[in-house]
Amino acid sequence: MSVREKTSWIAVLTTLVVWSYYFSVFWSEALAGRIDGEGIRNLFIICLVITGIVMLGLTIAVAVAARQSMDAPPDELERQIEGRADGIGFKLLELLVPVVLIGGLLNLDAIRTAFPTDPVGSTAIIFANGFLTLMVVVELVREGVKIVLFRMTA
Amino acid sequence: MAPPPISNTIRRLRFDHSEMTQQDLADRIGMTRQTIAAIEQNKYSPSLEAAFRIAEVFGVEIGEVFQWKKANGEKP
Repeated sequence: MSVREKTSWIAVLTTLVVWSYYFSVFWSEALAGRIDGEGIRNLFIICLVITGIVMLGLTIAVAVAARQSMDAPPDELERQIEGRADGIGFKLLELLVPVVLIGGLLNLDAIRTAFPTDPVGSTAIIFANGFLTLMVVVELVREGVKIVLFRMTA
Repeated sequence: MAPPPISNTIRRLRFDHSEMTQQDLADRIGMTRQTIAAIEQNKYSPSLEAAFRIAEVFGVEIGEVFQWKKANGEKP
């Protein structure tokens, strides 16, 4: 398994574990009609820091174990695989951005009604997390495609 | 995904060159060992430049490393 494939596995597993927890907490709170802005912000920062530390640490460990430089340029097969994964990820992003945007706009009244104490702030937090969910899903798909393509050539 | 209609003799050429490892070949042409393995197993067709580099390492013509497999009924 190449260093880049291992890095993709690290990204997928770390993202799945950390961000699944974050989104399960956020969306369960949002659906229950209670959003604690400060609590969500703190949880977001903690998840971001954990993701950064775990991914960086494991990637360095993998590169050291393989005796490769972390910034070694990809070879032509790796570039091809990354290009295909980026293409699929970008198309998915193009498809899902309007879905999240339109879905949010269509539910504006429902969001305002569910959070009467702070309708504007809650709407902003839900929209921001909707797009964050979208970005994480796209990243998972992009890394997943890389893993599949790496496996197909292994 | 169907394999490309190209065969290669990299494995034999490596053997003939003092049992050169895939890693040695990869290091000499700036690729990863996994990419060399994929080329050798015919799961990936390298670029023309990479094909020439591989042939250069073994000191042979590119046609001795890679061969086009004609499909049935295909004219020469």
